[in-house]
Amino acid sequence: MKTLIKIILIFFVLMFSSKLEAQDFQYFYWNKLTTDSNSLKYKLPGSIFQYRPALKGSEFINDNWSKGTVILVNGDHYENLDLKYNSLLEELVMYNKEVGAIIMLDKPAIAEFTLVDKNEKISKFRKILVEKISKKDIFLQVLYEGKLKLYLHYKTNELATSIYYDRSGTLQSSELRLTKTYFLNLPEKGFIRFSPNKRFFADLFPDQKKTIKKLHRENHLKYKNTDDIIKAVRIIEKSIIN
Amino acid sequence: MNSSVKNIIVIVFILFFIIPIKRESFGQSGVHLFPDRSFCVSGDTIWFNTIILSDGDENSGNVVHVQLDGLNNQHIKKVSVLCENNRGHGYLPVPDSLSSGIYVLKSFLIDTNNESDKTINQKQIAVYNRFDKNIRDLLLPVINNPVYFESDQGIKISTDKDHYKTRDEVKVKIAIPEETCNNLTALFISAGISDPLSKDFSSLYIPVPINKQTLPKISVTENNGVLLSGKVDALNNNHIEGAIVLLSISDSIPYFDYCISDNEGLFYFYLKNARGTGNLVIQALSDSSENYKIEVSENYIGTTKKIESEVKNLHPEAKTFITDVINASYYKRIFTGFQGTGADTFSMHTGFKYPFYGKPTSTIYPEEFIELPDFTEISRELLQGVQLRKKDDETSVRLIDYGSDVLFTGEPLKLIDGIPVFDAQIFSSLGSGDLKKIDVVYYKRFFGGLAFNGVLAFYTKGKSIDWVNSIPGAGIFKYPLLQPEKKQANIIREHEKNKIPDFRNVFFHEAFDRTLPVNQINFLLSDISGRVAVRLIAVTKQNRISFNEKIIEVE
Repeated sequence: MKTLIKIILIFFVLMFSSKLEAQDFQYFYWNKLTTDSNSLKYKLPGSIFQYRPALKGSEFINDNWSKGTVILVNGDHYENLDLKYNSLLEELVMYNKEVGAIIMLDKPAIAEFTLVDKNEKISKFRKILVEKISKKDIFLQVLYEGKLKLYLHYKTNELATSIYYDRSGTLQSSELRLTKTYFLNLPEKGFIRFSPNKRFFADLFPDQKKTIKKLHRENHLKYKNTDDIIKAVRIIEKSIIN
Repeated sequence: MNSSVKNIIVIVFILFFIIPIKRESFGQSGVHLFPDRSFCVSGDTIWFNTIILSDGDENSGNVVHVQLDGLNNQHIKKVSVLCENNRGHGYLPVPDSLSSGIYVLKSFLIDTNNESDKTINQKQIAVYNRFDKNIRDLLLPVINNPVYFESDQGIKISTDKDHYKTRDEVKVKIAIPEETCNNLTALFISAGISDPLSKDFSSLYIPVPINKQTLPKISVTENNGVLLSGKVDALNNNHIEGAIVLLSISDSIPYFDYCISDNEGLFYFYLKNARGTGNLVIQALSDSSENYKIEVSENYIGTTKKIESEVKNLHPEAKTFITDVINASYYKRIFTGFQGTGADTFSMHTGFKYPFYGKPTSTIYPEEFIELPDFTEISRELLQGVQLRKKDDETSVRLIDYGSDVLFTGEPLKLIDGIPVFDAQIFSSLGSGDLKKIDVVYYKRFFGGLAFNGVLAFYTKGKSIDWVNSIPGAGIFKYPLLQPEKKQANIIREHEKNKIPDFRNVFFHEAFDRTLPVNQINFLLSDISGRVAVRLIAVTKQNRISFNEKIIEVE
């Protein structure tokens, strides 16, 4: 019996003494981390991402996770991340495997990111201040960067609609709709929002109207999709901008 | 065609094509250091230029470490300088207590991503301890493999006179052939008193292979940053594996990072764009019940070979010279006092607008409210959504989670001046008079692989961070990062009118990117007589380094 009491006493002494020595580390979910997670880069900062009710439409431009890269404002690169771009909040969302959470990355910390689609096509996004749209930095997809620079801004808005039941059976009165706005950045004029068509370029360079018409005719320029618009900007840049 | 004719053709081919090509591509690759002097008195500051000569296009980093070592590889001091376009400059204060002798300056890059064998191009420097009198002999190196820079016969250094008097102005004309001029990438010119013992040190270097064992055991190429490494050990020197090591730097935007210690207890941090000597707070957390200690390493690099040395009697001319410069140093201190390089300020430009915990949900400035004596009152009166509970001696803090509108189940990350605090007692006595601001984040936050149940960050009105030293497993480490930019001091005579004696040893030290075929430089001599050397180091686009020198007499 005496031995048992001694063992119990030793147990208690050990338990309390260890509590005094070690710092309390309950504040981080770090005990899952190993040296594999070590990196000399600045760590990706962010907040927990809260999913919204399942409205019609999508708040992301890519509903499925895309592989991609993130470049932080200090130049540190992160590759092979699982990313989604939320065009409603205009924020980049990442699945963090280490902590098993979906994180909205801090926009002020990001300089650029890329998304790779199913066809291995890479879309590059850059954080740019376009005062004509917002006083804050926004993410724009970089479509072409020569002397003329072509960007695409994705913005999803929540719009009122007739009442409907969502996937979870909840009554909803709004839906999400994605709008795309093209921007040209010209050497002297800065950012110009535009609707891609023949007339836009003719109005933009009034003294080159004839040349622009000729370029459209000779190159069969169309504005049906992003690739057409990039092609048109390239050709116009080559002929018009010195 | 018979075989002998064939052989002759092959030999001629080799002689005419292969050998010249090899010669053309041969250059002094690696990092080279050009100090402004070949000797100094202990307590002096050596100013230097450095150049990275790369064999190819590979990026091997842009931070040159300059290390002052003894001949037996004993480390004395190290500085790290940032290079731009492969060129940098800096200074190395020589410890006042350093014994008289010959030392080596090792300049190198830390680039463990490059597997190739590397050599360090060592420069010798003679140091005379300012308290030594009558130095008769010195431990001198016996060098078997010095590499001498060739002299460029086309470059001509001429002076307006060959004999000068002390305090005279020297006008130097440097003529460089136009073709050479166009082929130069850098030109380093220095002028100073010539030491009979170390007069050849400027024209040679000693290549020695790096001891790979001393390289950091991590993949890194230092670009605009410095690697910091250290070790977490138990008090019985057992390595602590798997501890989380936290690095904090107090600032208006505090810096934070973490690393998990490996099986040797080693941890690494990489500090970008940080200049000066920082007060780094490092603390380790572990589930081990042991107490532990943290050691921070300065990442000195070793070389595989020691330089052989032997004690030699000095030539009378050298003995007289050494006595004169030590006396000059003594009088210099009497007349002008100790002139160091000034305080080493710290700055870090991370590029981030917000701290690692992001934009705070709310910021409270306690000064705007009535004075509150402690954190209990502050949490009650000023901090909405902060719950403070005290039970027995335990204090717990919880923040409301704006994401779910309920309290977090765990403690938030609590910071004082950006330093994580795990003991509520440390901040419980903070009153509103001590605090500049309080940032609160009411969301679950992530930083790499760490997750926090909200953040509560106190910023004091410049309160000392010495409280860190009372935390087990934590410490404040003064660590030299990238050297701040400074202009070379005491190179120009500044007290002409006062007739204060002038004991400068170095009169001119400048680096040029480009040069003209004819260049003129002027400098004023000091009150020290003897020989003065005007030295010119020219680096070509093919990484060839040439050394030209002109000696003048000062009576």
